[in-house]
Amino acid sequence: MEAFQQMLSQAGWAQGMQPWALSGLAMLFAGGTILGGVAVGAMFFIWTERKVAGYIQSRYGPMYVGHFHGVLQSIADGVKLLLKEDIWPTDADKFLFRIAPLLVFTGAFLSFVVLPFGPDFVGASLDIGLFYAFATSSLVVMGVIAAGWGSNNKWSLYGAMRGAAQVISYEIPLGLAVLPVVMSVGSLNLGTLAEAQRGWLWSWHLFNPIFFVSFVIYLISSLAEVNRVPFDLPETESELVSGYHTEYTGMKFAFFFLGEYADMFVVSAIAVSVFLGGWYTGIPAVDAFVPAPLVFILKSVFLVFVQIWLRWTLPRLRVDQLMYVCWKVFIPLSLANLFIYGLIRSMVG
Amino acid sequence: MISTVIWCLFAGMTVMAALAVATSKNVVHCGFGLLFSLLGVCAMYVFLGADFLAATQVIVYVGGILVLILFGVMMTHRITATDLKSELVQPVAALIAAVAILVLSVGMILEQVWPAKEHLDPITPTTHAFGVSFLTDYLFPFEFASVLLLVALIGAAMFTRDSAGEDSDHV
Amino acid sequence: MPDLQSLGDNLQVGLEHYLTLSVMLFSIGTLGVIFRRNVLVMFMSVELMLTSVNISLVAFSRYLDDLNGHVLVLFVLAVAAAEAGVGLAILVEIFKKRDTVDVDEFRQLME
Repeated sequence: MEAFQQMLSQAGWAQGMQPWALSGLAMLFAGGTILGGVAVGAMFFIWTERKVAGYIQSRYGPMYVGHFHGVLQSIADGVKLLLKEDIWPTDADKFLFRIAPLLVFTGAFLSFVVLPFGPDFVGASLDIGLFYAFATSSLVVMGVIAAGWGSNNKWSLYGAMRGAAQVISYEIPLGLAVLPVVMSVGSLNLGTLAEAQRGWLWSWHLFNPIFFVSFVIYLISSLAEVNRVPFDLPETESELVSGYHTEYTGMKFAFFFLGEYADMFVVSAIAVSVFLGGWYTGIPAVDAFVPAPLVFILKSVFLVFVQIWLRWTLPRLRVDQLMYVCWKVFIPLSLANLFIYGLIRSMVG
Repeated sequence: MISTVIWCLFAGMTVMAALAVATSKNVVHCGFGLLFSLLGVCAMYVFLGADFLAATQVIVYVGGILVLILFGVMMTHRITATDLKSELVQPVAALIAAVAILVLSVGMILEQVWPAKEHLDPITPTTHAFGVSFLTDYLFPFEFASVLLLVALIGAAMFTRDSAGEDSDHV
Repeated sequence: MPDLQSLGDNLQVGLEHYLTLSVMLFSIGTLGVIFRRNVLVMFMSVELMLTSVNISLVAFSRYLDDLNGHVLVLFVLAVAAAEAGVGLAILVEIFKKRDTVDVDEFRQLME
């Protein structure tokens, strides 16, 4: 955002513009960049998902479009989705059916504003960044409920209610898990949290035993937060015929899809900036010449790959097991973790 | 200039969505009206520099209370039943009460002289000051609120617990 | 928040605008509570009224330069959350027994 504003104020054609117009334009540019990045990134993840799934299942996955291992498959899919007929189910709630994909996508997209891709590459360096990122995922919940109710389909509704219950339950361990790190750094700003891990590899929060427990809780809860296997109960193709987006076709379905993959990237990027050293490589000498956004994006893409890998490896849990893990394992564990960290800090000082 | 326009858009959204809550005949639409109204209020908090409150508003109201209310809607109306309509009663009394409150309060607001805009401090992050006041001046209310929430949690669980074994409402 | 600050600098909105917005929301909430017989909608209207009070608290807090208003809002949020939890639990229980969410039907204590 600031970087854009500076670039604009130095550009010749923008001279003599009002400051408010300049900042508005910079906001539009920053938003456009993020939006383009989200769309391209999501397409890349969809292709990765299909390739990884293929290799895990001893097949090739897409191979034809784009000549090299089907790299352009997602673009072909996107064009196909654009050209598909836009189907409205009978008796669907028109208003809710229409806003649901928008809410889901907006919720995922808004979180990108606070992700610190580098010391200077952040949409808005909010003081409450981490908290803000959790808050925007509430919008996704509302989108899911709107989709389930608007579709006028009982399987969709079941999927939506499962999804909502799951996301709001797992938000608690997710928030509690990052609290020890927040206590240690004393900030909710994702950039500051990443900055605190400057230096050698072992200064990453991951390598502190207490933060490591937090990291494991965060990683598993984030799988549930984005409805991925083994917590994909809202979608469960085998019982709910893909849940709340059963009735969606064409562009609306594409929005759900983009939202899901954008969300996967967001939770991974938060994990990277809180636990995995942000944009630092772990070797101070290397940090000097490697571009920060590249490091940050590579680490996040690796975590997304882990999510894909888990999806094609693990079976799905049952609803009661899902809730059991959340309420009876993760929440007490993360509370105990927080308590122990507080004790240690108050004793050591 | 542009921010004033944005402010007016958000204020308009808040009020229109609130009107939808009060008048829409479809209960689920009321819930989503409340969603947009609360998001508008959240924008107001941002304009007022209450960054922490804005995020809390979204997490607590949108992610918590609103989801709970919509779950309530779905549990108290048979899922397959399309009859979600709810009656509008006492329109005259309601309008009189609402308009009276509106007119009297707005009259009072216009009569007063409020602190002028020039005296405003720049917006600063509030989270740190929040934490300090919760653990110093407001320690007792803070602990009390947490006990209240715990009591509410246990009470709600106790109410809805089905004593006759399996509950058919599980989703 | 540097971006918001640059936005806020030329914002031509005063305390009275926030208070008017708050009063409008409050009266709409009143309208909803009297207008409707569905407990859930009345519930939502009550939430609107609570929120409208929160707006004025935050606005006063900003214009009087005092953080106590924010703290009060957080307590209001806690109370609203507790109220929603217990209220909906009671409502679901009543619905199981009476099969309705219309307040006019809840007259057992009166009759």
